[in-house]
Amino acid sequence: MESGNSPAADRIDARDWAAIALSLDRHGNAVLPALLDAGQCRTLAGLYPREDGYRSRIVMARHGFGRGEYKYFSYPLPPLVDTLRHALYARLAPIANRWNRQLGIDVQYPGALDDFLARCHRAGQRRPTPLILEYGEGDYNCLHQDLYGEHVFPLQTAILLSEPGRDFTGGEFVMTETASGSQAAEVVPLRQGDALVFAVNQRPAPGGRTGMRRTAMRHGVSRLLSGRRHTLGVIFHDAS
Amino acid sequence: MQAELALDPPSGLNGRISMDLNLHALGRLDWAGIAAQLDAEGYALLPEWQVPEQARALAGYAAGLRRSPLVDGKSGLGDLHYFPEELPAPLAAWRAALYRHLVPIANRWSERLDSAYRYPDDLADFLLRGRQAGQTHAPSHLSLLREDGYIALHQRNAGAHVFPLQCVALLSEPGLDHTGGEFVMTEQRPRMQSRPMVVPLRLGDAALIATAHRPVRGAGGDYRVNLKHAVSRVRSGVRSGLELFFHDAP
Repeated sequence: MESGNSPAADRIDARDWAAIALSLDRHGNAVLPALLDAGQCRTLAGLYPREDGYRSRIVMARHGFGRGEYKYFSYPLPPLVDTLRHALYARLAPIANRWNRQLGIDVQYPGALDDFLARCHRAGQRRPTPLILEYGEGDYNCLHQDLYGEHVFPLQTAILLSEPGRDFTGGEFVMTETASGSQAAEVVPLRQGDALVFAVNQRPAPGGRTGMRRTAMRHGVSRLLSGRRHTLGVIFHDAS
Repeated sequence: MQAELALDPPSGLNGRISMDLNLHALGRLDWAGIAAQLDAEGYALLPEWQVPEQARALAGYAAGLRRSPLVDGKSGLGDLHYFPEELPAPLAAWRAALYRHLVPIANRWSERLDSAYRYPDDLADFLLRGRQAGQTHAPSHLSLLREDGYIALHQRNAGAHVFPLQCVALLSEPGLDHTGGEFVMTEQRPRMQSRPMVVPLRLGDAALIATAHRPVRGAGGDYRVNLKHAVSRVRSGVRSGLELFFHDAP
């Protein structure tokens, strides 16, 4: 588990984490522009058609999730994915802990991913959740939450591996936020290599009588009008 | 038809606003294609509805209309500017002409949804039906959203006389006048997750969208889906838009 001294981990550490935390608090999402370079994006997207390295392939239309497909990696994860997962987790755990305190949720996350995964694995959530999604023309992903069991880390990451306008059109990342009696929708503009950190399910949002309210977040992808779009999804809790 | 808006011009604009609302062009649109797109997606684009200058001029018209602020955390953040009961003459004429093209689609959707409701051929007759049932508030409006502004997911389908289609338009230029502010729709299906849509509007483009409900063909026949629409957070600049309805609200 190489975290802390690989180039990808250094690049994560070098980001303005105060600004990222502020964006997460205000909007429930934050973009880390150009976290991966074009070569890394191509390499990861190039993994998609391979037979090995995955624990399962999901065709979304079969489950009513949308149109398109995705594959969950098996352990051990590709080194870059593993590095990203560890380095991002370490930065996000303090934010997740603060959110839980604000929401009155009596769960705190350990500082290192391996300790959190050990907690997941003890509860029977042993299957890895990082995945690559592939959308072709006409494909879309319905609004959903990536919950896989009792243990939930409240933030996750998606990295766009394709370039909008060149590799595909349409296919915008859409989030909805539901509070009592109100629902907002937000498109998050992403370019190739951008990482988006976003709320998995609930978050403390500004507003309400006490200045803070609990909202429910969902995310999805609008229909691709043309081309092909790959995304790497980095979810921190494992699945039962 | 090159026409002029008949109300007083808003401050800051000299003279009257001219709009190219060519009613003949409306007749030349590919209505079979538009109907097919509405059936498939719940929206259909009318690209280049207005040339850029006229779209901007229409946006400027908001200053002369009744302002109604959105409520942050509820309906959104920004201002709606409501047209009076009588739309400006050229817009009224265009809406009446557009309505005629949409009636067959609306009636077919009614049939497919097993509704006995049929829409009259003439907009004036339909609006009269609404008025007689107490639907007297005109919901058509311009919207003005500044940085961080948004419009929450909503649908305006109160009352017994609701036209299943409405028109929206973008009156500012993405990337130039504003960033963000995408037009988003969601489609709720029974016992399934909602489908998000982003309507790719540019300055002067309009789109026909489902007001609230539409039929979708399933394995067991047609079923009804529930649609809402919203404007995503404006990241910078000012976004101007139009929502045009064929029915009034109670």
